[in-house]
Amino acid sequence: MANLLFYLMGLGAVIGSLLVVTSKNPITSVLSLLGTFFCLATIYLLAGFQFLAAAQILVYGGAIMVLFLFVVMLLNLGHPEEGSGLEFMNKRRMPFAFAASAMLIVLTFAGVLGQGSAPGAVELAHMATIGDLAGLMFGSFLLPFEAASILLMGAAVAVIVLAKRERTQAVER
Amino acid sequence: MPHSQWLWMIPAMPLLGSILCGILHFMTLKARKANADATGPGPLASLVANAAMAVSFGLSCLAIYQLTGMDSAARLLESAPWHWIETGKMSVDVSMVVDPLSSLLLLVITGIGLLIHIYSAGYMKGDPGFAKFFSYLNLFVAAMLMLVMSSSLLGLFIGWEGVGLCSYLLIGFWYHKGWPAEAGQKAFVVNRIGDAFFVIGSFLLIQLFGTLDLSEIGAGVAGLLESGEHSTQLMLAALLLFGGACGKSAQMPLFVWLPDAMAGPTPVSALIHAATMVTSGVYLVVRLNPLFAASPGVLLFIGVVAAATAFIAGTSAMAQRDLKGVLAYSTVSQLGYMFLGLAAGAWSSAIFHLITHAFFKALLFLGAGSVIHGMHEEQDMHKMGGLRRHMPKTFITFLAGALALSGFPLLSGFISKDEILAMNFARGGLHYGLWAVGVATAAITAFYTWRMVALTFFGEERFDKDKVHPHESPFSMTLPLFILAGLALAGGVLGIPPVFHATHILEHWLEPITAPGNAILFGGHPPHLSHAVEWALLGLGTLIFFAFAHLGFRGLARIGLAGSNQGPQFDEQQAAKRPGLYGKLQDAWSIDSTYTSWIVQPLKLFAFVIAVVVDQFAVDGIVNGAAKVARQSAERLRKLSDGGVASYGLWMGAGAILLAALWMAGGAN
Amino acid sequence: MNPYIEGMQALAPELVLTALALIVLVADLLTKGKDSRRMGYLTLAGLAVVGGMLALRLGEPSQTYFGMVIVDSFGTFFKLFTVAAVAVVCVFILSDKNERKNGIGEYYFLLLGASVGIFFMVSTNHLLLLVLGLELLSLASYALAGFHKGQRKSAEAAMKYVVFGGLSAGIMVYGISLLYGMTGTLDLAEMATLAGDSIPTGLVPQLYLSAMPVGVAMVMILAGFAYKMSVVPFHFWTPDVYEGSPTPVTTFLAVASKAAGVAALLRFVGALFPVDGVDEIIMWYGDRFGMLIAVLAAVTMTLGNLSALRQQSLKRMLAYSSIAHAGYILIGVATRTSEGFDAAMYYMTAYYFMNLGAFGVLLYFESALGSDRIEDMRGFGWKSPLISIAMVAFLVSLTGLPPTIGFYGKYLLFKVGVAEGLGWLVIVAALNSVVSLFYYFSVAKSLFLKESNDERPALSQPLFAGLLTAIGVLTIFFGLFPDSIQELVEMCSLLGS
Repeated sequence: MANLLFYLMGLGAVIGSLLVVTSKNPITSVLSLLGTFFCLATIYLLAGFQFLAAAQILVYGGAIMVLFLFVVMLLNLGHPEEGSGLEFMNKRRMPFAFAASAMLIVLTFAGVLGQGSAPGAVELAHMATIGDLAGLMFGSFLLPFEAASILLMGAAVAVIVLAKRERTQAVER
Repeated sequence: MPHSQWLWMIPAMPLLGSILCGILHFMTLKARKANADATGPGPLASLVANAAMAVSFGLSCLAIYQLTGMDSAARLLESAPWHWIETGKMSVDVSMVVDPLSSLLLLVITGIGLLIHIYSAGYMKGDPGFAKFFSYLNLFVAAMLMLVMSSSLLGLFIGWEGVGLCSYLLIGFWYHKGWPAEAGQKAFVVNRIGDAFFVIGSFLLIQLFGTLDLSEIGAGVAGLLESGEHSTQLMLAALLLFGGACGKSAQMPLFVWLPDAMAGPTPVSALIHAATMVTSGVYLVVRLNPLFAASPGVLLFIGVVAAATAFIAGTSAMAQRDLKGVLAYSTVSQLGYMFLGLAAGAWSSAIFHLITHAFFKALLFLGAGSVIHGMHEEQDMHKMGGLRRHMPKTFITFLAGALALSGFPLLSGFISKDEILAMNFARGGLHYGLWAVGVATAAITAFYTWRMVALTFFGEERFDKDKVHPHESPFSMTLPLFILAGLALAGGVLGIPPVFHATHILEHWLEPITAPGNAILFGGHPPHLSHAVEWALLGLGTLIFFAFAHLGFRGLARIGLAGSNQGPQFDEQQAAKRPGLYGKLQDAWSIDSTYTSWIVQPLKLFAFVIAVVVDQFAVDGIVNGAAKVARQSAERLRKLSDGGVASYGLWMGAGAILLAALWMAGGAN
Repeated sequence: MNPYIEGMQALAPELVLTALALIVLVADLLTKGKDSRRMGYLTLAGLAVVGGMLALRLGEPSQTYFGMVIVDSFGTFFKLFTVAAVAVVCVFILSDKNERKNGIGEYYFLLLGASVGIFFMVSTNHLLLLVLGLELLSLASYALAGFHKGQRKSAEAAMKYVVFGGLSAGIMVYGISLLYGMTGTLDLAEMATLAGDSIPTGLVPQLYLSAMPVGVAMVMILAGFAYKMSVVPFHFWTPDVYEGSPTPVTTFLAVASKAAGVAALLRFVGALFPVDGVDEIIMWYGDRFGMLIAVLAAVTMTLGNLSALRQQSLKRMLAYSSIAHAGYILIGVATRTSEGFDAAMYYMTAYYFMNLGAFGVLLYFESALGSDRIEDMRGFGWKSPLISIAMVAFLVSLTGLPPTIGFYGKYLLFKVGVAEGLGWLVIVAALNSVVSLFYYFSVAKSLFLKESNDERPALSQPLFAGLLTAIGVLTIFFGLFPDSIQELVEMCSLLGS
């Protein structure tokens, strides 16, 4: 049962993410992304990471996706003009892209499947609960945690810089 | 042995002079900005530069004087080393060394350099870049002195690149004409090809000997030979270093820059492209003679290259109309002679020819400069003629140079050339072939030299006498000519042939330097010719001189020396008889244009393909065809969300996969 | 003592730098952006303090804090390098006539923030912290590249940088996650050891099991470094972003950001694939990895140099030249020896001087001529001789000719290359430097060997001209007397002697 659910969710995530990049309608893209996140959250749950699954749904599925939808609808991107979207579906480029991805998948997973040993996964099993996570975050990973806060601050300022209208420009309008 | 710290002064003086002249130039520029007619302090530059050269020359003489007072085996002056790099892990020292070999070159560089500086004061008079010219010229001398005096291959390389840079600046000196700047760049780039070999060769030497010290490398070769190891690396190193010498000394296939380098002012051609810089390849080989002696195959290869160079350049000189063009190809050809000597293991003969060539070729270039000066910048010999009446001093001295170059018996050029040919003859075997090419080139040399003399100084005046008034050059220009003429005529005393039972001064002087090479190559006993054969070879040289000098001169000689215009007619007859051959010779066997069409153009195309197709249009350019590319690129500029981004992403992915595949190729398990 | 307090003391330069960034941001807000020059001076003063703190630490033994921050001379070397580069960039901003005056506080904040990112990147063997540092650097760089929002090129540059940066960061993080899954650790040192009691951890057992996924992970991580260093085929952003960004930002990207990539790559290779690996298979695949880097080096320098040949714009030409130089630096990395790493570090130092100088001169020309076309610089050498002569020194150094620091840098790289059996790569590099002569000297030719038809007078900016001349003098000085830097590099050597 759990296995079946895993494969179902995996398939759902792959299809969802494919739709995100291939869809011409931004709203479809956003909704597909949402679907992908739900599928991933379920997989986390199956692996025993309850907190991660909850965070995934709350943060990504809830907050960020709603923000995306707002932006898309506010900017009225719902009805793309012909030919103005990203040219991802360039027919001539598609075979190359597929070949590249296929090779990557084969190269990686042919090996991983044969590996039969994943110490990383074993390691991860020790950090399933909130308590474990908190211990790590404020224990041995305190420094990365703090570094991440600097990163976020930098990102915030960077976004403001890019989003802020130039004063001279504003005057011109 | 006490250090002779003052040796640093020898290259330092011209360096100082160069800096001072540079300051003078900028002062002049400033003065001219304030007042367009102001001369500024520029003319002082010649005094500064000449003083620097004079001091340097004096010090060089002092160094030689000290050397002569020493035991012949221990003739060495060395400054305290400059610790270029001195850390825990590595150390590289560079010191200034004067030994018998570098002392000779010091005399040539500072002595002839001084004469050319004096000459330039007259030649460059009134040029807006007067001070700049002397600044470059002094800088060149400093770099050249560094090249020959350095104890380490690294110091040598610094000088090697320094002279290349100065050559670039001086060739492009009259850049307002347009093409000199291009010629300078060409010279620099072609030289760099040689330098790339040089650099790799020196790294091989570091690998082999763990040092860049020239004397240590020389001493280490014998030991390495005994152990019998690394003979391939030794050969490769010698070959690579010869590649470097090919670039600097304008040998096949890298000689193409030298004829173009004539775009520079004539004193530059005399100093850099005849007397000093172009001979640094010869110096390098002689300096490392044990290394080259250890690989006879490389020596033979040098011989073949040198013979080809001498012959091809010589034949090209036969068909030139440009006075300096003849001299340029002649220089390439004579450099071929020097390498021909090296190929036979005649180290001291090569240096001998280097010195005599410096005398007579500098003289010829300066004489040509005097002619060009007097003819108001005309270089085409067909538009000259009869100049002996207008410029007698230049004529007489030029004649001396021509006699020496073409091998008039017992003049300097005759003796040194004969020595090289005799040595090749003595070696026998394949060297007979080299000897034969050398003899043929001697004939060609006599021909083009006298053709040049006839066209320039004899016959009728073929220029417009109303517009051009040829005049003799000022004293500052003729004085160096006379001194050089004396040297060109008498230079042979340095190496009187053995048949006259006199001491060969030069060979004796260079003995400590050449002994290790001779020991390796000949086991200490260089081959000797019997007196009878020597006489025969001398006689053959004499015969060839008279026969072919006459041939080159004959158009005029037949009807007396005056009132004839047969020179150009003779040229035209030849051209009409065999137009293909004549054109080919004029174009130096089309080697340069072959490079253009087979190397330069494809490289440019390749660069174009990479820059435009791969880098700007990425996959789209290849997949969608060129027609669409133009439209798409216009589109791209309009849109931010362009297709290029996706294509680049694909390239990155493809690259990563390729790398992963490389990682797996021939996997371990 | 409490390990946290100790760790905080060890991280003092990072903390001061972060504080400085915040102070500049707040001070700019308080002064309402009126005192843009003072912000520059404040930043410079703060950088001087950080630089001083770092300089005092040189030569101290290596220590690890928080289990992931390594404080050693190698890291300090690159931190000093960054501080010195950012300081010069600040002077560039101060001298830039085109620089806007408002929002300058954010400008400095972003530069300092990016520097903090670099500080983390160069002082860790832990992949998590490495990624955080890298992202901090990247995010700040994206905003910096687009700082001139009014200009289309700048906006396009930022956009491209974001897209490619996101892509390569994604590839890298994916590779790291694969590696983590296989080895069970994010610490490179741990990964390289032969530990593991019950469950075998580390790289060695995985390589014995199957080298393929390890290879994919390695290449993906390599892609992240290669992106920052602009190594082919991860270089596509370089010319466009360099061209579109404000020139001081371009300088930062070309010098400091690239150095961070080099340092991180050196640590990565040094930790996982040293020449004397712990196990046979590590050594075997180490050779393989070295060969990959050697191939990348050859392709990168060739493509960079050939593409530079046709450029009309000095800025774009320098962008391609910086790609080519990444190739040269990789020679040292590919040897995987202590000497090779030292040579790469020395070359970075040489790169610092000659590129800061060249970009500075570019900035000067942009201010004086309003153009970065080489053609427009005709005959300018006689108008502002000091700067132009300095430029010739930079060009000579970039070509690798004596007597400049670039020559010595190439000398070291080539020497170690030949010694470690990479003769073919050295030949490629030597031929490449022939090609590079062509385009570098076309600039010199334009400056000094062409007639000027431009009547505009030279700019008078004594401070800026003085700085550039000083860099020019140092470029030659360290070529004549390289031992001081050589000693510094040997002291900061990653793999020890």
